[in-house]
Amino acid sequence: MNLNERLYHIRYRIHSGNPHIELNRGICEKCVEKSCLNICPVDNFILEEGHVVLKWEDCVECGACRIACPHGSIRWDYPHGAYGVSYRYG
Amino acid sequence: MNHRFDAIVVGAGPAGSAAAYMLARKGANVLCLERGEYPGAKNVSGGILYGEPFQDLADDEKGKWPRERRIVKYVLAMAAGDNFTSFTYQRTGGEALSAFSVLRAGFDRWLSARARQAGARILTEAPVDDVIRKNGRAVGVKVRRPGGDVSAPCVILADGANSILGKKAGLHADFKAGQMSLAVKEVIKLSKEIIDARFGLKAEEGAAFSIIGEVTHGLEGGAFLYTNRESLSLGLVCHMDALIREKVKIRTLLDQFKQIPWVSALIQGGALKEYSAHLIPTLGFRERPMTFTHGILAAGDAAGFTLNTGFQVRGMDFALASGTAAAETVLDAHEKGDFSSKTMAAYEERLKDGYIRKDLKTFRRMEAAMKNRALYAVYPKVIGEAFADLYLGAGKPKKRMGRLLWDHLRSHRGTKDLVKDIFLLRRFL
Repeated sequence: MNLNERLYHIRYRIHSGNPHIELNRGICEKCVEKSCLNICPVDNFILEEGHVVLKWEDCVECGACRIACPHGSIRWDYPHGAYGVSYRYG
Repeated sequence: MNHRFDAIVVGAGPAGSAAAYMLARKGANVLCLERGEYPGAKNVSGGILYGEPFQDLADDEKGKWPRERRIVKYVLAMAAGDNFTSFTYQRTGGEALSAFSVLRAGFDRWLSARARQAGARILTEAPVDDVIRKNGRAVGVKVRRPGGDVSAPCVILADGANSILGKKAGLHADFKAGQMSLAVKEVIKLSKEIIDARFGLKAEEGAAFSIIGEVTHGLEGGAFLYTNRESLSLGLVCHMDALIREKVKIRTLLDQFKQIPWVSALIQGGALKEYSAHLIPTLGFRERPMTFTHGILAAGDAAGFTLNTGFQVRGMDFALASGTAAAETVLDAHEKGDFSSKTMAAYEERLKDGYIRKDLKTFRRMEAAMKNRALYAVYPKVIGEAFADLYLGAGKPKKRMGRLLWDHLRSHRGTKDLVKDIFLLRRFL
């Protein structure tokens, strides 16, 4: 099943312009492992022309990237109240 | 110092709501802060709740809380190639099993409403950024809202698997990939009649499957499938370090799991309702975080209270029980007027008296045992192949089952490996 179909069924309230995740570019450029690319269950991290690009809007706030990143490049915080994912079933 | 509340609870999941409920019921002025739009908005059920959610539920309340089904059938299975080997336990009468599938959006809201009815103040859409400390002691929390500082002489952290506050409070260091599992889940809608027929269930009966082996490409972890009232919850759990090591996307494993013929037959015709992901602490007894410090207690996932015994995966019952124990500790501290870590240490004593610490200790070697990759990559194959030989090849001379198992075992495992495996088996049983 493609990811978009999965994302379509998740309820989000996106806080435009207020990313709750930020990358440290300098660290990411030197990173060899790039564990974030595979660990994120909603593919928030993609590789574009050799650079890691973050699409935080689809984040389900599991926190896996934060733990997977071996270099501490990911500044990760919870979104502001009521923003982000709101599971209807859970 | 005048405090606005007697206690603050961060997080309105099972641990937080159980704590808020107990505190309020005993007359404490308690505030429970939840970052989500509603309690449960950020939470994902990993499976089965063992036991009723509260000890003091009246008889007429017992069947009324928002649970999905009473689990009466457990299937433990191993998948390898064309071979699927399983063991089923089904309760067919007598004392009913007290195990329930739940969906957290409804369940957590109910728990929180119960705390509110008991007198707790619940505030949603209220992320907490830090615990405010004075002279090393908690005196309140910083809420991410205008004018957001709230004071209380103690704080219960029930802020979940990531427990960012627990880290800030010094209860644990940054978690490592070897200490966490990643779970993904789909809720798939099917009618009650279809679920009952496919799984051989009636009334509110439910079934729960745990499967290891090729479902995770032999990685440390497993798949689960369990019945809700009118949906199935299906998903995968994998140790994070295994996913990183093998560079596998858990989503890809989930796709492949759903394509296994017996799985696709069970979910056929179902409509996807939700996809979700969550972390599960898999720290083990020795590496679990500290549970208390001056004016601070941690409960539920935030304290690493989860357990996979190989036969049962538990977390929600531990969350409820640890939340209650934390509340009782806070009530005692109020009576003494002392919130130092010396008083908070009574929490550990309470946990020791209860079943959580006992169970974590009994199964303390499980985390290490569960890291033996042969369990996932080799044994499902060995057992599947032995059964295949048993039932295939009609008209040919047969070997005894013991011999078949031994032959397949020897073809996959050397003597050294076998010695290791015997130790593993001892840990399991």
